[in-house]
Amino acid sequence: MRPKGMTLLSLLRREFIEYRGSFVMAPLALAAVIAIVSIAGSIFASQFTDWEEGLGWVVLNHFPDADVQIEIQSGNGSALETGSQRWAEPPASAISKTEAEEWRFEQDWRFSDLEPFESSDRGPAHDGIQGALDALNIVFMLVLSMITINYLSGALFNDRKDRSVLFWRSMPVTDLTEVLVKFATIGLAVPLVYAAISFSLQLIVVAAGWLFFALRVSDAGQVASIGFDFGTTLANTFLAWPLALGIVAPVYAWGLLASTWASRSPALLMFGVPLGVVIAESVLLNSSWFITRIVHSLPGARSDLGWFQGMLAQWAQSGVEQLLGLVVAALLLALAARIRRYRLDG
Amino acid sequence: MNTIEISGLSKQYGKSSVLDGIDLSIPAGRIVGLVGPNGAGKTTLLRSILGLTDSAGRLDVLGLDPRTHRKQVMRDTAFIADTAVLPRWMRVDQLINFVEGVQPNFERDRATQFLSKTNVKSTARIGSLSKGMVVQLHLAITLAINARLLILDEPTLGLDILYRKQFFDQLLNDYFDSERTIVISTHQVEEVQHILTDFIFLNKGRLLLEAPVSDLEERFVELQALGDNTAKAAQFRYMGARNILGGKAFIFDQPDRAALSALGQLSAPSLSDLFVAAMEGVQ
Repeated sequence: MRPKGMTLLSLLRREFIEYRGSFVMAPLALAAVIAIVSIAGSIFASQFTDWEEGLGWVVLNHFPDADVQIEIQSGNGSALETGSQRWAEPPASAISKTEAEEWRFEQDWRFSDLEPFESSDRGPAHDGIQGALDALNIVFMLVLSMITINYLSGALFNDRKDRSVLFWRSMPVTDLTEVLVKFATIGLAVPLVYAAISFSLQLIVVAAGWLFFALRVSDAGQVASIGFDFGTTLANTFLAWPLALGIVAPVYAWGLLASTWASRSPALLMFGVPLGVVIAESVLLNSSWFITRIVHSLPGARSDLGWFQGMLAQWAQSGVEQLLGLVVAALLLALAARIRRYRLDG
Repeated sequence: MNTIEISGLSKQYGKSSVLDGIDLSIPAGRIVGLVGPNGAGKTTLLRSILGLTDSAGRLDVLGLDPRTHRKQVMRDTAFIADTAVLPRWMRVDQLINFVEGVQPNFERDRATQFLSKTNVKSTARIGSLSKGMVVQLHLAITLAINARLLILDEPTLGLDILYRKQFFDQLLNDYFDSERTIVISTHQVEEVQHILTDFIFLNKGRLLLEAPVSDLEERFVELQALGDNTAKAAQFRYMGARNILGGKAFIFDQPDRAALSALGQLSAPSLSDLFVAAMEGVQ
């Protein structure tokens, strides 16, 4: 007995095979780079200071004829150390003292931003490390946006261009199913993958933050107060996206329509037609209704509240308009399926 | 019930008519060759049968209208367009997984069995396969679909003669039976003649001739008239003629065989000669 939903799963898997690079490899590579930098930073951060000390000593003491003038500038531009006065070889007693004495990070460094989680007036999303995690998530969203544009323009066009559409159309799959799977792929499945990778990375970054303090600060309370909130991170990463999809649905649906409609350049159609409408409306009617609708169909308009809260606020603010946007999206998708039905040549 | 039943099928692109009132009936258990010059409307006719292009007129495939029930029709139909349509970015095993997932009549074991007789490796990327291997893969997948109707639109285009022969032999031996119908559009008429049960000549969107292959023996006659007999033979109503050494070869439709036999050697025309003669008749 053939399990139900196997067709949908196979179609979804097909999309991930075709776009494996941008759907899976790109976010993994991005996450790997950031994770390595974070972990390395947490472990080796102070080593840069030690290295700078050592470098100065070597230059001035092993190359005395080089006549090198080294000047260290502080943040406000004032000279801290110059010439040989700082890196003259220290007396033996000083060296033995340094080696004998355990260097205590928290005595030399102070962190003014480590405020309690509830104390900020910028909303919970931006407290402590939470703001950095949101920023990380936004980096993933930006990458996702770019691959989304690429996917939408090619999803119903590339197979016509390479003629593989004739193979896909030899299978018992309706045009609407095909279009809806592509919409669900880029609207839900791929964001889910990005969210999972982004969330894992955020946990790694938090762990790196804890490691950073744990290596240098003996006060356990200070280590714990870096401002990480699991629920907020989870909501911002996973729960925001379904809300965002509801907002952005008409834009995605238009992208798929342009992809199936275009005979040469889907991207040109995707951006050109809306731009033409905006310009025409501005010139002929002296109004900006259409551009306002487009802006309202883009998520993140209230990013000052954090990703999830921002989506909720956007829905609360213009719920009726967003619902109408869903109706428009449904119509555009139906039209895309209708056009797809008999369009075989790219 | 006929596998394909078409009446008054028409299709226009702008003002030009690609299909012009086609009437056609194809029963089960037939292998039909669709023959016509470039631009005759063969591909449009086949795509109409598959519900891949819009058209006017009555269209009944396996009891359904493919324009409104394409999914149901495609469950029992397999289709090979030409050699270049498999997705080049997929691996062979991924393609087989995909077909298994979406085509309920696909038998994976059969596909694997067919492929085991070829050099196509399951882990190979389709883009890395030779043209002949891609055809073998496509054929293996198609033959593993337990379909009642198989549509082939120039399936061996660009293949060398060995692959072409292998393709049609496999089609006949591993797929065809009395319940199944195959419609083949091809320019290599001579190579498929031996496997066809029927043929259809199409020109400028119109059905020129539709007949069983047995009519090549029973209905049509080729006369090779030499010398003075050439002029005498030309007085009979013939479909077409071509020059031969010392005379002409005429092709007749249901002639008086006794009268013609006095003018030269009679034989059954080949499908390609009959096609050329039929094309001359409309010019």
